[in-house]
Amino acid sequence: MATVTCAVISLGVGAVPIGVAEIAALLFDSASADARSTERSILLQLRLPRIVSAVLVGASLGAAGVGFQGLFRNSLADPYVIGASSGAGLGVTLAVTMGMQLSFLGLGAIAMAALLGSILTVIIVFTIGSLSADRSPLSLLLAGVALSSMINAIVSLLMFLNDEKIVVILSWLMGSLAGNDWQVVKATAISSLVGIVLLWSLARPLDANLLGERAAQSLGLDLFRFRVLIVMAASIATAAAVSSAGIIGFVGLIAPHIGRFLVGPRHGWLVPTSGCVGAMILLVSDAIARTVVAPAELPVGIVTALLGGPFFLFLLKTRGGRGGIQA
Amino acid sequence: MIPLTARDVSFAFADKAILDRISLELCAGEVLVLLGANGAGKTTLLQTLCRQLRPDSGAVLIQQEDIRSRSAKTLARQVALMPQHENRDSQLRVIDVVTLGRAPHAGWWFPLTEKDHAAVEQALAMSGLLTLRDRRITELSGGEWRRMILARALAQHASILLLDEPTAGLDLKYQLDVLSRVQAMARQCRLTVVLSLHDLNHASIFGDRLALMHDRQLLAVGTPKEVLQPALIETAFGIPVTVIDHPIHGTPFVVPLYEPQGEP
Repeated sequence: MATVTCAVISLGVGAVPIGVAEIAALLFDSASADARSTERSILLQLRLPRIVSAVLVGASLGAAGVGFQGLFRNSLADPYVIGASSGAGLGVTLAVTMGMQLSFLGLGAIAMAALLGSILTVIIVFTIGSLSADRSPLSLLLAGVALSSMINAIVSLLMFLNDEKIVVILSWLMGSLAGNDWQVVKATAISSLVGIVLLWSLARPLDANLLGERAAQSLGLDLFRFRVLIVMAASIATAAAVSSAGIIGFVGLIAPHIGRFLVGPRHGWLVPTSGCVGAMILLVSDAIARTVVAPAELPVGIVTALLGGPFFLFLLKTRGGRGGIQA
Repeated sequence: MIPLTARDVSFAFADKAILDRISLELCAGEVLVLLGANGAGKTTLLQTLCRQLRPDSGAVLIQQEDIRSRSAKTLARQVALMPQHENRDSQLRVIDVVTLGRAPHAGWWFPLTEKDHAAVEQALAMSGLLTLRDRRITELSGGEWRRMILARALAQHASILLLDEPTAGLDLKYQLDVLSRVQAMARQCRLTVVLSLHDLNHASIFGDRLALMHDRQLLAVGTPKEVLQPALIETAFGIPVTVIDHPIHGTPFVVPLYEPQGEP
């Protein structure tokens, strides 16, 4: 409900402000719509797709964060730490530098490159982590951290070597929803929804995993299959987010914490709640990004990090309450 | 039919043999206590009995069927393990954890049925946890936490219960509380229970049979009277003991023989 309210208010915010009543008139009253076709077009062709995109990206990052934190039983895990975002970022950077124009099943080159980059990275992390003696989630996490750093270095190298494309790549790396039209929404909506629904369907195994591996195994959970499914689902959701908005920090980390604070640790509630919280964070951040230096725009990744950092510190300080801050 | 059989089970970790051709047979309703010094292989044996570790050779059979052929879910309907340690830092409530015991029956994706809820309520009642159902697990005492894990195992409706040091870290009252509940459950529900303990005298009172582990093998398996022999205990633990009759239960009562060191 709160997410929908945020979405409606966000529709009105921007370089050309439109009130809530006017939004309703423009959307549902044809006479008013005809008379003000410019505003209607701003609303339907520019703001609405961008807002739908913000909701999808935020929800994907929120849900993926829950998946990774639940899998690793570590409240610091998020799509960045495990390498999913970096992998997707590398995919995007390669697609941009190589000028790839392919498309497959309606997915553009950038969306495909992000999806492939994310999944491949996570598979590599998973393989390295599984080869370690204890095959513990911590090994996976460390493998993710190591691989992320390497990938970030490769991305920097690619930027260094392709300085004519540095602006395009940088805008990806900073995260932005600018220019997201219905095309972008169409290209990423399915993978977003598949990732989120798959994560939601794994709620009970995620609950069991909170008690530790031995306990989860004793309850009949096939650990290997569980890990593969979570990693795939969370990577798909992350890739969908990165391919439509670039790298946006903190949402995947904070949304699960706020979700846990609101509804407790059970994943049946936590996955959808974190999705909604993630969507709200991104809607608000994007509204700020669009207005604070209007008519210019800030990359939304800068806003989420600037707002998210202090908020996270505040949560840390007041840890406890319902759900607390642990995984 | 014999509920649980270990046949020549051997297991090594990083080239170090931990179990060497262990064979055991357990009956329904029986409580078997595993005894042995630290590192004797008690936890490893319990983990091989529920396939959390796979033996290098030999086999574990449930109802005469090799457990390797079972799916994780089928196995969890038959065997429940209470590990020595579990994560206790999540904010789940007691009812959430006990309800997870129904996962092998309800599946991981489907909503719980009336039967599942009834099983959870019964398990909570049997474990004396009805009043603590909404308590966060981080707020439980050691004894309450053990009872919750027992309740989860009961909700699991498994006929074989494996408990790894269920009394570790508990004060005397809770040790007796947990052990007497386990014994009562085994009798009432005809459960086969294997548990590891360090207290030989508790083992003597609560165990129908004892299995003494030493040097990767079973040194002795039998009734408390057969196993709690001074010579066997000295071999397994490296300390001299004398065994007298328990003044109330009449079971063997082990008294370590040691000389106080130095003047007070």
